[in-house]
Amino acid sequence: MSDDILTTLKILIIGQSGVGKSSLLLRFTDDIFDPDNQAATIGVDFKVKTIDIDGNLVKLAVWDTAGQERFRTLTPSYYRGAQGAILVYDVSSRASFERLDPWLQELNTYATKSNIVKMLVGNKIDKDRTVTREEGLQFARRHSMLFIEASAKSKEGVMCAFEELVQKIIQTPGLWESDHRTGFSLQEHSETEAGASWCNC
Amino acid sequence: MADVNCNLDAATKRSGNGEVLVGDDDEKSVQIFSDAAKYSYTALTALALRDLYMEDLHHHAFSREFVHNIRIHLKLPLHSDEVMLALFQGEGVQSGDVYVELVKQEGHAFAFFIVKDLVYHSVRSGKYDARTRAMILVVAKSLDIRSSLVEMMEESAVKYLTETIVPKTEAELKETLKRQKTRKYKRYALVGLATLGGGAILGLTGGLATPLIGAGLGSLLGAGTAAALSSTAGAAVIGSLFGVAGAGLSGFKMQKRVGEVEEFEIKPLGKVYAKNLHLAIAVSGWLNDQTGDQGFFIPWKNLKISQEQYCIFYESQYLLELGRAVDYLLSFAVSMAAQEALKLTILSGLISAIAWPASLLTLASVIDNPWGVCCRRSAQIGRTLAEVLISRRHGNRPVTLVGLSLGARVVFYCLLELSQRKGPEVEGLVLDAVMLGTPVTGRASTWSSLARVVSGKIVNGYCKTDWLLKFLYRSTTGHYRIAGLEPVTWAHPRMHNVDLSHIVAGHTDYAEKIDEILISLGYAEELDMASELRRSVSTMHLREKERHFKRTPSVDSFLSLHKHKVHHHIDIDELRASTSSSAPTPTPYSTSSTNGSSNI
Repeated sequence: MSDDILTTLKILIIGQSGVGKSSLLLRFTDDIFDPDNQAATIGVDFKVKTIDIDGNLVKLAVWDTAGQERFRTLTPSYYRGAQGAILVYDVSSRASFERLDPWLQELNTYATKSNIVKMLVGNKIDKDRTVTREEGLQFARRHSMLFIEASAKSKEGVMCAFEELVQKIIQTPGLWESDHRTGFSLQEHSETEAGASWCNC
Repeated sequence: MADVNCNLDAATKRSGNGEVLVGDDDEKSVQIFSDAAKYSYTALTALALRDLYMEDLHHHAFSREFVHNIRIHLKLPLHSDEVMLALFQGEGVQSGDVYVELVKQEGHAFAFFIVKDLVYHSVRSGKYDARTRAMILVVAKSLDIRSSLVEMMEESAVKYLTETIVPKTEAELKETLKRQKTRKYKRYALVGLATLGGGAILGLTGGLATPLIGAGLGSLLGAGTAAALSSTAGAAVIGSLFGVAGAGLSGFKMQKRVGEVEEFEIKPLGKVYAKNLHLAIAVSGWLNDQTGDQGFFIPWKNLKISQEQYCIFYESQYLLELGRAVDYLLSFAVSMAAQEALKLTILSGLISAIAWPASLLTLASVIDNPWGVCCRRSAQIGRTLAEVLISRRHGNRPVTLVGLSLGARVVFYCLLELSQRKGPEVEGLVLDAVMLGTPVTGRASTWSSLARVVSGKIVNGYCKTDWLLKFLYRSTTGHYRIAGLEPVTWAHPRMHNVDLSHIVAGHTDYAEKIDEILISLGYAEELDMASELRRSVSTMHLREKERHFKRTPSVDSFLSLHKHKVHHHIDIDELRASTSSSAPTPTPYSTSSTNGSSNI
């Protein structure tokens, strides 16, 4: 099984406290939505899930960061080597949308891979929205991010978000091939660039 | 003492109506931690274990279980296991600095509480694994807690365990009675109480540090401390930690001849001040006529690894014979000039082409024979020592082994023997292994088998100009590596090759320069002005008193009483110094993979 895995990708989920980062991840990995267990994340959580992208198995190591202010010192160190980042806001909370900028700044500052794939996710579309889809899309375009609206509760858009992100990473040359931790065979992607950006961790 | 009781009472009261429930302790001891502190605590544990054991598959199960148990102990959510395991496997962050930062952000006192809680959590199981201690020292270092303070925490843990042998409340009494129904506990309790009665096991009467630290730390540690251990079956835990079989290591003698071994005895090195949660065994090389079998003691007089240290008396007759041969060789056969020339030749790397002086070769038989005998016997002694360690006469606590010359060979063969045993009982037994000028192979593949049985540092102290060692191995081919002459080419975070060429020039220097070596390795303390002064002041003080009370018959009793006081004073001083100063002093532990350890 592990021999068939094309690569392992490091994905980071960031965003304000309470926008549903952990719920999105739980829906994605375990297909669960648990309205009773919505305690704030302590520190950083971690989940692994293998998904099939166009016939290739890709292992996702997802780091789910805490949105709370007091853990902000912790998150920067987790950006190292990440190939993808999901920035989440809550469509029913104007405030969470307006505070996207500092997160994006942090992301741009600390990401070690310059071509890291960024995705904006508007969560909780099952609720009454205060942020329109158009606004979200504009923000994403302005910062060259992927964009998707989703609901961890209703399941809508969740799988799609992760799949799209992974696809984009796979299509980005030099972003993932050099990951030293994976044991994939070279001939599968012999077309890759020689000067891949080496992860120096 | 009074302080301690106060704290115990306070803890009982705080739990509500004097009702102490089993299983409640955990809650009380961890409730001081915020979520962020708990998370950082667990993460630092995982990272310390990663730094120590990620490369050794043997220790993975242990590490995983430890992190898992800490997670449960701290009542972190179940899914936190995943992130902690990921950290252990080297994913995520590189260094623990961010967690240290987070801990300090939550409050500087948490650094202290985390290490204290780790110690208490580890001790209460009755098994103090060497790997646990190695990990605690790494965590403590990252949090700027000195290893001497860790030792005090260990002692206070022991102290509390013995305190709780006497039931405090009605509920506890009931609990104790219930426990006593199991036969095993009865036996442990009897042993525990008997030893306590004799005051021997913890040195409660003669111990310098234990009672005082109990009182000193008592107020510092707060109520949670007592709670952490209160309803654990103290006697059983103490019995397990320190060994229930009887006298422990002290005075251990071979009951019968095993193989070739004629003499093997473990003796305390100086006065054993207090039973520690960690002990050290030191092994000397050959003896000479001046010192006789005191040579087993003398090199280690300044060794400061634990308050409980031992040395091994072994095969003195043969070691003396070898010593004489070496003396003869050095004083008559080989001139000083020739010795210097030999050092240079060896250093230049022309080892295989070396031309030994004819005078040396003609006298070779003088030394070759005793050397061969001693080599064989020291290996056998090593195996015997392994046997003693496996029997756990010393209890379930880590041992650090130190040896020089043939003594290092004893240590090496002890470890090799341990590594050849299957089963988990040989793991987590030895903390550090320090081998100086070791006459054994330097083959990396042999040394790498030690990773399973040594939980802390594996130190190979070598000297490039040790011509005598080279001479003794002259019949071997150029490819044969000798650990005492060169680094062991085994890249491992816990393997430390230390070039001692700047301290020792030849093999006979090891015993003479041992203090300097031990200081440079962090296993002995340099006597600085302050402590020297303090020592002289306190002795002056004592002498004065002695004069004053010369005619009273109970001078001795007074003196011993006073001694207590003086040491009390020093201990508190030290405690203050170690809590207030943020700069870490040379602790024997530096995480091997991080920068600090380059010289070790």
